[in-house]
Amino acid sequence: MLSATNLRVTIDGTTILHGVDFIAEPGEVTAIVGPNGSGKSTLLSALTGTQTFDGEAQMGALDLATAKPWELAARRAVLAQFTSVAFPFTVSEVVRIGGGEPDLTTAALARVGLGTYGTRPYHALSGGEQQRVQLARVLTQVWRPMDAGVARWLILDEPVSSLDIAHQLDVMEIARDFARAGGGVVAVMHDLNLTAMFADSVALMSKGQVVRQGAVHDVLTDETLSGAYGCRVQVNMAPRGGTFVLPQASQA
Amino acid sequence: MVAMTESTGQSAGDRQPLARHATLALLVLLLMVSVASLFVGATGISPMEVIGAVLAGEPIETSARVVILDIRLPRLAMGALVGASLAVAGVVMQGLFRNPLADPGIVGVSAGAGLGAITAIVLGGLLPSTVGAALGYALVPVAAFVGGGVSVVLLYIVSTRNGQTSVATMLLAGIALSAMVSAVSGVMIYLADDAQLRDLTFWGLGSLAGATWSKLLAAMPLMVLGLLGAPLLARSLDTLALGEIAAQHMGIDIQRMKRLAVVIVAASVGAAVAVSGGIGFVGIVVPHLLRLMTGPSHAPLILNSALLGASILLLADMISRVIVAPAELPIGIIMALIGGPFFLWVLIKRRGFAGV
Repeated sequence: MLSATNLRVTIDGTTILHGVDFIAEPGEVTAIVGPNGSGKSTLLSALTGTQTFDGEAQMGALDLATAKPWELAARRAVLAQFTSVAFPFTVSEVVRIGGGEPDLTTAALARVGLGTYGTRPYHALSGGEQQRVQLARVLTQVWRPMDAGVARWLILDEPVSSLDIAHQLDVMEIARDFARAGGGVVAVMHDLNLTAMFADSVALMSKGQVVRQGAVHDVLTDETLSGAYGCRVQVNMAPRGGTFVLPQASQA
Repeated sequence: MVAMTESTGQSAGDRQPLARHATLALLVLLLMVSVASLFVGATGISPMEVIGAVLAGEPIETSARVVILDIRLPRLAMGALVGASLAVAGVVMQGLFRNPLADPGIVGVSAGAGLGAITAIVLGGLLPSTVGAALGYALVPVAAFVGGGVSVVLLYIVSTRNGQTSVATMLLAGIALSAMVSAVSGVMIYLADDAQLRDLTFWGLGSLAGATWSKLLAAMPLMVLGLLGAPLLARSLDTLALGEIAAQHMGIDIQRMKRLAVVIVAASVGAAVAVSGGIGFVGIVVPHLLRLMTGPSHAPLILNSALLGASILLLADMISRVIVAPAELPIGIIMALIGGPFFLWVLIKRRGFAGV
């Protein structure tokens, strides 16, 4: 279990998180949604051990306030919104930096649909392709979702923001498969429809707090979304029984 | 054996096997250059006679033995160590700053180390005689180590914000650093007596000509520290290429690795500058060529840079010995003649790649 209780973060005198309660279970995809500046990325930084905080946060038996970088790295891998690569690496070389076995490189690249890209210079790829290479690297770090009976975590910060729709679905399916195999997934999401399709649990953030967390149909409602995002949003049900959100209501 | 381990599990596009072949080739190159440098110089010594004499168990002619054992052998060892140290310092600095232009000479770290060395040469006599005697030949390398270390830390604080290095700020900070250093050096030169002045001038141009076993032994611990410490950073530097946060996500203790990197750069540059003066460009030419050929992964890059750096410096030293024989051109001039245009070429190629 990955959990935070009364988490508070202040950066340069500005309080970003005002006592956040958050929980994610292994075996589930947990999405964090909310407007820009609501504290999603800061919460993710605290949960990944790169941001100091007050309050409590645990990843399984690890206390996130005191865990060493290498202890965390064995338990979880993190995909950032954007990763800049300094030096002219090939795609394979970037994936190998993840630290997995060499034969994982090929498998991980195949997993993100870039099986034939190994020899290409990383900098010659498009932004979306680079993001998938980074996902492959991240996957090699936690290749087995369960390690000696303990769940590992895949933490994704807006994993699909630079991808076309087919690859958005691919990446979200990789996340779901990781959770189905026993691992835990936490993803910051902007796309509420993908969130509705893939998340088992949704945490809605606004103004530095989690205003509601629970199942999709409990959290993604007209009233909570309109309140959090500060604009009229209408939630509907898709023909085959899923929640969807259209922005047209704000024009009505 | 080698071929078998390489064929398993390596994915296409990973240039590590290629880099391992390069290591073998570079070892052979270093061996050949080393042997050649024992026999090239103002005094012609026939390799065949020496090798023949050794094989036959006969004593070698005294003059040849002196030239080889007391002049060329320490010079060979010093050249190889200085070349390897400067090249490895370049790799580590470039990895730390996440930028291929961060060369100890260009951004003022060598100048800082030089200031430490000059200060020690000029003011070393003022130390209480017991302290001076205890430090002995180590005084200059240690002072250069401190000067280099302070420069790297200053440069890093000025040019890096939130783990992102601004190239422009880094190069400008290097200019400022060099200017301050040369001002203080000027004061030191003003204070120096005639003998010290001659030492300083010759030393400033960069030369291996003063190599002796005792000098080498004094600087060797720092160089060995740098050369053996750098490979420990290989994985950290690979992860750092993806940014500080990503490196932390991959389990690296960033603060600890940065401290280690600063110590390694300061030790390598400090020791090299202390014994050989201002030899520039090794730290940028060598890693750059190797990245082009075998990729930027740091484990092979550090090893191969040490080998190629040693070879290049020995080659340049041979040129410096024969080009105006029986006099000598300082090796710093040869390296600047090669390195200056090379640096410009790198700048031209990188136009439009600002920050990458």
